[in-house]
Amino acid sequence: MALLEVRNAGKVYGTQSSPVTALADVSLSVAAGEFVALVGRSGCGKSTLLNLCGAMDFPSSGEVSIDGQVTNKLSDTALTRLRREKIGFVFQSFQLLHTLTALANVELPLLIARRADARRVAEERLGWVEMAGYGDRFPHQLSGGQQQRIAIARALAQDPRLVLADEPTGNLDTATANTILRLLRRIVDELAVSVLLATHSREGLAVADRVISLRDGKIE
Amino acid sequence: MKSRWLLFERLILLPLLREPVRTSLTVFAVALGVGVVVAIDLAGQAATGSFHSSLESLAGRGGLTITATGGVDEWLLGKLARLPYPLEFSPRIEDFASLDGKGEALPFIGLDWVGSGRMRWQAGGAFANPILVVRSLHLEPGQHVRLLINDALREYTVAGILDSEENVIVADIGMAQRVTGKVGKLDSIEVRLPADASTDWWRETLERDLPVSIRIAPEGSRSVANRKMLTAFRSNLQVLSYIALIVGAFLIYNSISVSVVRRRNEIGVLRALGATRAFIGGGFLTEALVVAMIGSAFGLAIGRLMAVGAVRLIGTTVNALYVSSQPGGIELTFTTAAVGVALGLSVSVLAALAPAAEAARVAPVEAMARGREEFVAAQRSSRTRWWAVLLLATSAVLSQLPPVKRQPLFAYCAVLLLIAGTALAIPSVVSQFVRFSAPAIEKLLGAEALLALGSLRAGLGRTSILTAALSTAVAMTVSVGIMVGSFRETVAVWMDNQLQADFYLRPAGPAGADRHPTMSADVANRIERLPGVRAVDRLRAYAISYEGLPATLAGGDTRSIRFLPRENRASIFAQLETGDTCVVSEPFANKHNVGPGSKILLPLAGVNRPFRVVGVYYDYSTERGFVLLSRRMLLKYLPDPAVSSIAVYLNSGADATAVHEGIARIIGGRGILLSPNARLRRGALEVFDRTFRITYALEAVAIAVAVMGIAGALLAMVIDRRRELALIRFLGGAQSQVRRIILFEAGLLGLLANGIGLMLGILLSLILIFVINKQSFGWTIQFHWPVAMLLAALTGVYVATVLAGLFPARTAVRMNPIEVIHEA
Repeated sequence: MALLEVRNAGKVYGTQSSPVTALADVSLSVAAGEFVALVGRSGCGKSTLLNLCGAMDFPSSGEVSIDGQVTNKLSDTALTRLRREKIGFVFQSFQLLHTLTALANVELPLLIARRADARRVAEERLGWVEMAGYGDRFPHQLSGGQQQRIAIARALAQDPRLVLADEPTGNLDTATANTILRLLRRIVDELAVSVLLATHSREGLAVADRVISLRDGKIE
Repeated sequence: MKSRWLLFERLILLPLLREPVRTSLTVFAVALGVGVVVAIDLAGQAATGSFHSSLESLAGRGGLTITATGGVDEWLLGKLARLPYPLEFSPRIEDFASLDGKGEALPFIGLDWVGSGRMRWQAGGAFANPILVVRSLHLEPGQHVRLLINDALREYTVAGILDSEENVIVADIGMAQRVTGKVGKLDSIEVRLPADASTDWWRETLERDLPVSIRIAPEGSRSVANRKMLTAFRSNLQVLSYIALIVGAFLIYNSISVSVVRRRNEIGVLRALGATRAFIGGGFLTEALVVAMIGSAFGLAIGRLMAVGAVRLIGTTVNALYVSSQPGGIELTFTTAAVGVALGLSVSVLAALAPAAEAARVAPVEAMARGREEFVAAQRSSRTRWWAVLLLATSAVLSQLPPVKRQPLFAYCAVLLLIAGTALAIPSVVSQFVRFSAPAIEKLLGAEALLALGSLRAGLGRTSILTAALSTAVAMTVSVGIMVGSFRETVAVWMDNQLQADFYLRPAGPAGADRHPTMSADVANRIERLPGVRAVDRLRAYAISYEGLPATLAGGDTRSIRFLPRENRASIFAQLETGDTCVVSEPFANKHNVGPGSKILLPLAGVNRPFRVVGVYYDYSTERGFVLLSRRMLLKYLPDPAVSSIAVYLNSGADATAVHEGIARIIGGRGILLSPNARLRRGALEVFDRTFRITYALEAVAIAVAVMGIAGALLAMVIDRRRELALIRFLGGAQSQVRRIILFEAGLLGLLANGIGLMLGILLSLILIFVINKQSFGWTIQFHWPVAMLLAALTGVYVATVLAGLFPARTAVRMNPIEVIHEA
C-alpha cells in the first residue's frame, strides 16, 4: 500500500460566483521510501497539492490518504496528530522562529508532542544534518543554507514517514541548493522516509526517483 | 511538565522579554487599573466602611442604645434604674469639640466617670474642667487646652491620658452637660445586657416601658445606618474606578491582538508542527494571564500607595456630605487583594479571549499568507455595525428603567452597553473618517500624514481597539467633567437663590453634615436690634434617624428656599405656620419616596407625631436629607431656643461695615464664625471642589492608562512595520519623515479618540446626571457645558497622545534600514 495516495483531488478557491480552480482531478501516490519530485511553473498548484498531502488543507473534491487515513474523514485533533507524528515540513523561506536558537527550533515539535527526550533527540537531529556545533545560534546568525538544514532537522525531529519540501532551494544559491538536495536524498536512503519535493530546478529532478509534472492544476 | 515549562518559556516568556518596553507598558496599564480598584476599595473601607459613627466613640458593643430627637430627658435614667431588670445604664453626652477652634472636630463624649469602670487612664490630680484625651493628641497631663464646643471657647485641663485607639475627648457627664448646653438632657443611654441575653428580646421589653418617641436600637446601629447611607456613594465610586480597568481591558485585547497578528506566521509553523488549536489559543491566553498576574501584583502595591491619597479625598467628601468620620487605618486584607487580583486576571483573560480564539481558528495555510488579518477586520466592521446598533438601542432602553433597591443597576448596565456599542461602531467610524478625510489631510499635512492615514486604515482592527481604549478614557473625563461642572453650576445657581442674606453666622470650628453645634439665642435677638438690620433668620438643626437612615430635622425661618417646579410657594409657607406640616429636601423626598401630601412620622415630644409634607425644596448642602418645620413648630416640640445658624438681612442702603462691626461686638469672645455673603459662597464652592477631587484623580489614572496603551501599541506598530519604514529610507525618505509618520499616526489616533470620546462622554453624562445621580442621590442637576474644562481636558489628552508617539518615533528613526531589510 502506498504511503500517500491522492485520488481525483480538486481544490477550488474563491466564491461560488467566481471560483478559481487551483487543482483539478489530481491523482498520485508515493510509496514508502520513495523520493518524488513535483515540477511545474509558479502558480501551477504545487504548493496547494503539498498542503493537501500534508493534511494542512482539505480537497474540494476527491480524497487524500496518508498511511491509510483519509484526511477528509479526520477530526481537527486527529489531523493534528497525523501531522505531528507522520509528516515533516520544509519550507522555501525556512520558517524558523527568530526568537529561538537553532536547537530550540528543532526541539519545538518534540516539546509540543510532550517528548521527555526532546533535548537529546534535537541534538541528534542537528548532528544528522551536520549542524551539531550551531545549536546555540539564532537564525539571523546563520546562512540561508544553514537555516534550511536546521529546518530539515526540525522536520525530522519526530521520525516522520513523509517529508514535504516546498521549493526548499528557492532562496539558495546553486551550490548550497545542491547540498540541501543531497541532504533530502539522504533522508530517503538512510532513514527510509518518503520525500515529496516541489521544485522547478533541474537539480531537484535529478535526485528524485520519479517526477510528476503539474500544469494548470492538472497532472501532465 | 518540563516540556510544558520549556514551551511556556520559549513561546510566551521570551517573546514578552524581547520587547521589554512594550511589555512593561501593558503590565503597567493593568497594574494601574487594578491599583485604582484596590485603592478605592481600601480607601472606601478606611473612610466609610470600617469606621463607625463618631458619636458612638467609646460605646460598648453588643448592648442597646436609647436615643430621642433633641436628646433624652435625664429623668428617664431614673425611671430605667427603677425597672426590675438586671441591666446597667450609662448616660452619655455626644458632641464635638475642636482644639482652639481649629483643626478637625473631635468627638467630645461625656461619661459617668465613676460608672465607667472599663475605661483606664493615668491618674491625675484635681483639675478645673478636667478632660481625658487620647495619646495621639500629644497632650500631657496637667496641660491646659482651649476647646471650642458650640459657640463657647473655654479652657480645660488634661486630667489624664485615655487608653483608646479612637480619637476622642472625654469629660465627666455633669460638666459635659453644662458645656454643651444640655443640662437636664442626655444624648444617649447605653444599656449593657446580661451576658447571654437576646438583644431583640430586651429591646422589645424596654420599648413596652418607655414612650414611643424613644428610640431603642442595638449599639452600633448608627454606624450601620451610616454605612447604609454611604452605600450609593461607595458603589458609584467603585463603578468609576472600574473604568480604568475597562480601559486596561481594551489594552490587553490590543496587546494580545498585536501578538496574534505579529506571530501569525509562527502560528502556522506551530500548527504545521502538530500544535492543536487549543494549544495555540491556550498559549495566547497564558500570555494574557502572565501579563495580568505581574500587572495585578504591581497593582496591589500601587493600590496600597494610592489608597493613602484616596482616603484623604474620600474622607473630605464623606465629612462634607454625609457624616463626621475619622478614617480608619488602611489595611490591605486578603479579601481586597484577592478581589483586586481576581478582577485583574479575569478582565485580562476575558479581553484576551477573542484574539486567542481568532488565533486558534486560523487554518495553518492561511496563517502563513500575509494580509488576511486585516481583511478579517474589514469584514467585521460591517458585521459589528449591527451589533453596535443593537447594543446602543438596548442601552437607551435600560437607562429608562427604575433603580433596584436604590441602586441604579440598569443604568450601570446602560453605561457598559453604551461603551461596548460605541467600541463596536468604531471600525465603521474610522473607515469613514479615513475615506472622507484623506484628500484634505494630504493637501493640508503632506505625504507623511497620508502614509500615516494609510497605516491606520491598513491596521483597522488595531486602530479601532486603540481608539476605543482612549475614547473610553476621554469619554469618562468628559462625562464626569460635564456632570461635576453641571452640578457645580446648579449649586451656584441654588446658592444665588438660597443665600440672599448679607451675613451668616455659625459656631466656629469645622463644619460637618451631621454636626449641628449651637449658638445662644440671645445672639440672634441682639443682632436683630442692630440699626440697619431688616431681618434675622434662625435655623436650628438636629441629627435624626428616619426609617433607619440618618437625616436632619430642622426648624427655621425659610424665606429663601426654592421649591420644585409647579409648587405654590405662598400656599406652602402659609401651611407651614399652621399645624403639623413640614417641607422636605429633594434628596429626602427621593430617598424615602415622599412628596406633597405624604405623611411622615417624627418621634417628637413623647409620641410618633405625623407631619404632612406640603412641599419639596431643592437642597444641595447634604445628601442626608432635611425635614424642615417652621421655627415656631419646632420650638413647640423641642423648646430649646439655641440656634445652629443665623442669616442677617440688611435694609437697603444700610452701612454694611457698621453692621459688621456691630455683629462682631455682639459675638466678641464667643467662638462664632461671621461670614459675609460672598465669602460663604466662595467657601461653599471650595468645599464642593474638594469633594470632587477624587473623581478627577480617577479620570487622570484612566487617561494615563490609555496613553500608555497608545505608546505601547505605536511601539508594536513600529516593530511590525520596520520593513516598510526601512523601505521608506531606501526609497529616499529622511529620518525626520519617518518620525513625522509615527507622530501623525499618534495625532490621528488622538483626534479620533477625542472626537468619539466627546460624543460618548456627552451621552454618558446624560445617564450620569439624569439617571444614576437621580437614582443614587436624588439631586436634580441642570445640564451645563463646562466649556473651559472640556477644552483643557481634550487638549491635554491630545498632547499626551502625541507625546506618547515620541518614543516609538525615536525607535523607528534609530533602526538601521540595511539590517532590517536583511533580517526580513
